[in-house]
Amino acid sequence: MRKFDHSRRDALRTSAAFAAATFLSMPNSYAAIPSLQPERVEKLIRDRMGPVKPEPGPIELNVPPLSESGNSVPLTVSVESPPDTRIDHVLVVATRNRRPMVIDVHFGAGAPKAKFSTRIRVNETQTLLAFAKLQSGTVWTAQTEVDVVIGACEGLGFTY
Amino acid sequence: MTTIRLSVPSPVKRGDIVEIKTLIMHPMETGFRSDSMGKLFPKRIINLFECTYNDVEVVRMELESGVAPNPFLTFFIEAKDSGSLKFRWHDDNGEIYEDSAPIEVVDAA
Repeated sequence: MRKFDHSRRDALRTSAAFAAATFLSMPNSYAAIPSLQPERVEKLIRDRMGPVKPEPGPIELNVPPLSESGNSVPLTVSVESPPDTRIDHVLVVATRNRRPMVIDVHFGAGAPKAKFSTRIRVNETQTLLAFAKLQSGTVWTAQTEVDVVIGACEGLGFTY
Repeated sequence: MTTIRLSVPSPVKRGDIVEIKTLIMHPMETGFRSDSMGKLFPKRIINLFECTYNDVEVVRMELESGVAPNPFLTFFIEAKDSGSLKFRWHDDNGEIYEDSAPIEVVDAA
């Protein structure tokens, strides 16, 4: 009986360790819903934002709480500008789209604030990431879930 | 010629932050879609949009197929001087669509 108790405890310990290891080794450290192609998403972010580690920042990502169709989902992105530096560009990434990049907006000297909107295609319910590069070199990030009832091309056998 | 729709408020008060809205009719073909014979439609999207205000760059947007057809884009300018806003869209076929809109800036009474 004692032996049984012992092994049960061991088993619990092992399974707890295993769960922790699985959690820590999740391939995509950003997305709550795992990406379809984490390497591609990571590479895109690295290529566009540089090797800087992004830190959570004051980026507001506005999407409807639920969209009927992923073909056209309104998106507004607004980055709070610190007084001493400017926002250079803002990248939006759809982690479960076949082409993860959505848009990269560069703000020129004539842009008073880093805010824009557009309509995007969403392949399926997923995590949307935004990155903002400041002129000081800092990279900010934020994320939101975008829920769609019918993805942009569900049932048609292809994805964006 | 493709249809372009612009919303540029005018006249505006000097110093105001003004929202500019643009829309261009364009299929934004992803290259993943095929016809009934299984032949793919070639990718053709607007890949770059630029806007200048009195020849100063406001925004330059790099688009991918994740942007919905007939790309609708909005952004902001600060009303400084009367003049014009110029808009340019570039697509994968190398075509460039251009348009411009006048803006009148008045001093607050």
